Amino acid sequence: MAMEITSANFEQEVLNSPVPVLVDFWASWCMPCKMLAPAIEELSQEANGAYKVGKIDVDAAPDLAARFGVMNIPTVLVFQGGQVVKKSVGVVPKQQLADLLK
Amino acid sequence: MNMEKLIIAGAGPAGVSAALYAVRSGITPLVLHKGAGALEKAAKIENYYGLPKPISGRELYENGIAQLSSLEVPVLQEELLAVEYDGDYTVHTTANTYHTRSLILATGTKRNTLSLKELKKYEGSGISYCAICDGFFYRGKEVAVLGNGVYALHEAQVLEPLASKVTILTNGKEASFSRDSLGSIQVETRKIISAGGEASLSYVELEDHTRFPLSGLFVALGTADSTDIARKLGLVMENNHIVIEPDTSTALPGLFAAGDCTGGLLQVSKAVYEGALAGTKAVNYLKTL
Repeated sequence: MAMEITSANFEQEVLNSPVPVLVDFWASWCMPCKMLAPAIEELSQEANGAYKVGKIDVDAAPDLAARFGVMNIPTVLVFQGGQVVKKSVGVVPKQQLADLLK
Repeated sequence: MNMEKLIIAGAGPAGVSAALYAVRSGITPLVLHKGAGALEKAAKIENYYGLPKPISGRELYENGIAQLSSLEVPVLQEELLAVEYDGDYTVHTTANTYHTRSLILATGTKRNTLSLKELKKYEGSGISYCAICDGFFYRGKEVAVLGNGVYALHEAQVLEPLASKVTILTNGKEASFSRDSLGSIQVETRKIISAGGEASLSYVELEDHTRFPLSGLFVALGTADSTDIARKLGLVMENNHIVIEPDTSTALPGLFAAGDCTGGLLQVSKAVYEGALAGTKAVNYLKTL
């Protein structure tokens, strides 16, 4: 399961992570987000410790969306060493998300 | 609630072909269309099987609709506005709301895209193609909708309760809206020459070089076509085309796409082939329910 990221655990789980973290910004009312969800889950199951996968519900954490300039959902950001290193907007094939982690 | 088995959006070569094959397989679809589309502009069609003399695009379109009428397929001229999925499909048009088990998108593709190089640059940071998805991020902000039709008005109306100000940018065209339909929505008719902003979009520059401030620009050009609908349903898109499986199915059960909206050769022959496949596959899908 992809980890639920909130304002409370964001720093520890994402910014301070020793491995890259792929974060999916989503909302329950967003149909394209639902369509992207299976790919996010599969990536999470295939991580084997090489990276982490998290999900941020923008309804619950609008501050995190604003902090990283997320203005469309779904948006996927990859964090490495506390920085955003990759960004993908909209529904894309799973492989395209996997490539963000390379 | 009246549930249709199959709705086909579009009555060009792909949509009509889909309907013919669905009827042949025992399902009479409801066909919705908004007029001749790309075929309207084709003065002569020569490179298609069985045409000893060229035929105009309009004539071909009308022949297709006449063919459906002769099979007693209901064909309604209504513009698509939005589609929702919750196991079945809810199709909103300018005139009605329909419910259907299966849907074939075959509305063709837009030729009137805006050539503004900044559109790609600010995608994800101010440019959006989906008011219902992204309106959330523009609460209390000034936004604009690019377009000049019922679809643009529909997107503006989604944004109106959220944003502090909503303006429809017609980009040089005379506004097509009645004052009554606009409510608090503003209209700006000057042409757009560029867009800019630091980290995110903050203005568009108009033809007289004045800067029109905004936080978000929602693109809703022309009518809502298959690609607009597909994007909002969360289908994978590539170069503004719907990515389909070889059998015209998509990631959503019961949703198929055919014709120009799936890319490749923008030709009648390809649209007819994909339509035939989509009509057949949609009926196969309905049999599994």
